[in-house]
Amino acid sequence: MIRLEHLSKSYPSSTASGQPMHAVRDVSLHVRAGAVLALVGTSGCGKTTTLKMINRLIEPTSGVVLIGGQDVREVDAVSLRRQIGYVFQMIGLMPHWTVGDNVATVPRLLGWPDAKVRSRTDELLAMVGLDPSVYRDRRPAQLSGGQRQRVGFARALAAGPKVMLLDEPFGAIDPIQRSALQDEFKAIQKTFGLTVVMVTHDVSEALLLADTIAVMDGGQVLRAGSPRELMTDPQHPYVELLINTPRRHAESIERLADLGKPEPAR
Amino acid sequence: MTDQIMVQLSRLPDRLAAHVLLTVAALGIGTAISVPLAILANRLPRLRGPLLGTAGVVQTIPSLALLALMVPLLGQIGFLPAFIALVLYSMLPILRNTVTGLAQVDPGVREAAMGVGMSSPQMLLKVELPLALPVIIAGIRTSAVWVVGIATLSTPVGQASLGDYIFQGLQLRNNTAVLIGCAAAATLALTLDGLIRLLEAGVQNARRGLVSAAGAGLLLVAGIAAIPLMKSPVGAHVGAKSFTEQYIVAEIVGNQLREQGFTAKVTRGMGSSILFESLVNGNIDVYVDYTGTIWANVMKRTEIEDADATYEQVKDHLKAEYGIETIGRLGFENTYALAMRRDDAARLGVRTVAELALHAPAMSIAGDYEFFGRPEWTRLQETYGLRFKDVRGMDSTLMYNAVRDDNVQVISAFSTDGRIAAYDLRVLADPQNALPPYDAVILVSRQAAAKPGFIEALRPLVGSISDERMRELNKAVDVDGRLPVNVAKE
Repeated sequence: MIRLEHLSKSYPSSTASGQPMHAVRDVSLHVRAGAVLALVGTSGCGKTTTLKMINRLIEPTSGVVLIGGQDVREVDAVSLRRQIGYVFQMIGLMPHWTVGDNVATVPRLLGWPDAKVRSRTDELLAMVGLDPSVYRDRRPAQLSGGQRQRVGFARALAAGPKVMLLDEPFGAIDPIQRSALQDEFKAIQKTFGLTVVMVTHDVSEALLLADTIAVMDGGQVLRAGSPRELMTDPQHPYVELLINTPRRHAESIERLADLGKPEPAR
Repeated sequence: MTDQIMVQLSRLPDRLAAHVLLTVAALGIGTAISVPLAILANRLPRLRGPLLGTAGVVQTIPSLALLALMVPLLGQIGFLPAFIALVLYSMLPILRNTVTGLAQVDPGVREAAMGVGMSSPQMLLKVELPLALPVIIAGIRTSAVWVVGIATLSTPVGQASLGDYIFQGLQLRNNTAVLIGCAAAATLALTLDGLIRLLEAGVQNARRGLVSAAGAGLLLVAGIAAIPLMKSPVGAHVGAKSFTEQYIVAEIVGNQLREQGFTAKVTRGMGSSILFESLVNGNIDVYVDYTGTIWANVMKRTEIEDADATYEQVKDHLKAEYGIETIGRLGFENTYALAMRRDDAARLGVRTVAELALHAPAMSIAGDYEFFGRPEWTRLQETYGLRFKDVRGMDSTLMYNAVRDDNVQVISAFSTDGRIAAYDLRVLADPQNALPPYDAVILVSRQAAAKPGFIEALRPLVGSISDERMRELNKAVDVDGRLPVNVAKE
């Protein structure tokens, strides 16, 4: 469904050395229809740049992005983006619009009739767990962080995209809400067979949600494979370190819990 | 007092209309230029610094100077120079606020708008401008208040405005006029500011009623500008400089023209060189100037000749160089003369400027704005070795009071000024003839001279006003507080 072929992005140097800065180097990846690809790595590893080249928020220096076999450069960037759901950490709801207006953004851009926009908006708000009669006419400022990102998801899904791009979508949400929202997202993704590329620095999130994980560092993909493959055969010390972080955390927490127990009686 | 207020109020419709036309047009055009420029600067950050820098520099030019500069730049007086200066002035707050408003739109919102597939114009119209609107409107409101205030300074460039009340009121010490001018300008500024704020509140809260009410209010204010359209056109345009005697003789010239069947409009309070320029290019048809002024300022002559020789040479020069017709001498001379309190002069034994020079280092002198920049002052200083403790340029009306109250000891008076007698001042003799003759002459532009009967209509005024008569007329206005229009009828 989504194919990245030898994708690179470099920026002209801002320093005196004159060397161009390589944000992404020769990335080739493939996502099956209905599958979730997670791009993982530390800040500055090139994962967000890679994601934004898919809907042309950033244009690649070289290489090709194919969606459903079509080169995205042949599609008008604006209409391309309207066909792809986009959710990101800053959420970016329009503060001067109601929740309903925000969800209706893309359908209105596509020129849907008002009645259809209205019923679709209510349907989506219900789907993301926000009662339309309560939330439709509120302003984003009146919602909690988790509720706002629910609206963000509803907006991305409004026009029924086949492909979604998520950039740290759960990053700014408190842990309890985050877990609930991750589960709901997984359910929606399965129901509609969405093809998803998501960026995260949270390895547990990637392990739980993704079919394929690509570990990136210095603009390159070090290793890509299923969560199981990465855990059993990391092939690279950095990948091993990164992929085992959640497990190490779990073990540390377990040890802390053990220390709290009373000494067994002799 | 009530009569005084009624007379002043009768001029309000015309002046208010001119003021509204000037401000609303300048504000509208200023906004129409500034907002797109700011949008461009937001897209091309390299433009931002130079743009705001330039607008900032314009703002630092004193407003009166900017208005006056427009006259030689455009080669005309009246609406256009005032309008352009005000447009320039209106731009900075709108530019700055629009740039700021657009820059402070949350980058997350901007990215989301791009990410969901808004085109660049859609993002501007649906997201950036609505979010920046309160800040932009605040800029327009600041601008509106400034422009209404600064428009009062368009009187000296020959454009009618509420400033006419203030400039003429100050000149004639008519506080009623000054107060009416200030109150009208303040009311206009507050009304515009309030209506724009109301319009913004209506847009923000999507309240149609409020939007229509504010819009209708703004249209109504703008409609004031249409008042003069209901009046007949002007035939002859009479100019006057910014002092009492000029106001009176301009009215006398205007009355004479009307009696001879011309329509005439008098524009008062213009700067001396602006007025001459206007006569040269035909924006003003006729005004009264003084031979000494032309001799020094236009002909750049520094030597001194007797009154008749000066008059003949001035007349020939103006005709040859500019096609200006000199109709003749009115009969009085308004020369610069140094004056001091009669009791001071007696106590110190000062009768001439030469005798004054001995006491000058302990004295302050005041003169009108022009005087200390004129060659006469330089020559007075050189001829008599005059050195004062302090030299002050001030409004010519205030300087007579200043010498009476001993705030300064010497002033550069005008020889026809009614206050010389009224305040018991002594005019000091000029034995070395350092000061040139200043005979009042009627000057007519080349264009007006070509109008049939125009010159003939003015000829009866030649020799009709003596020094004595002029002093009486000036006193009637400056000391007795009567209006130049009424004095001129006598």
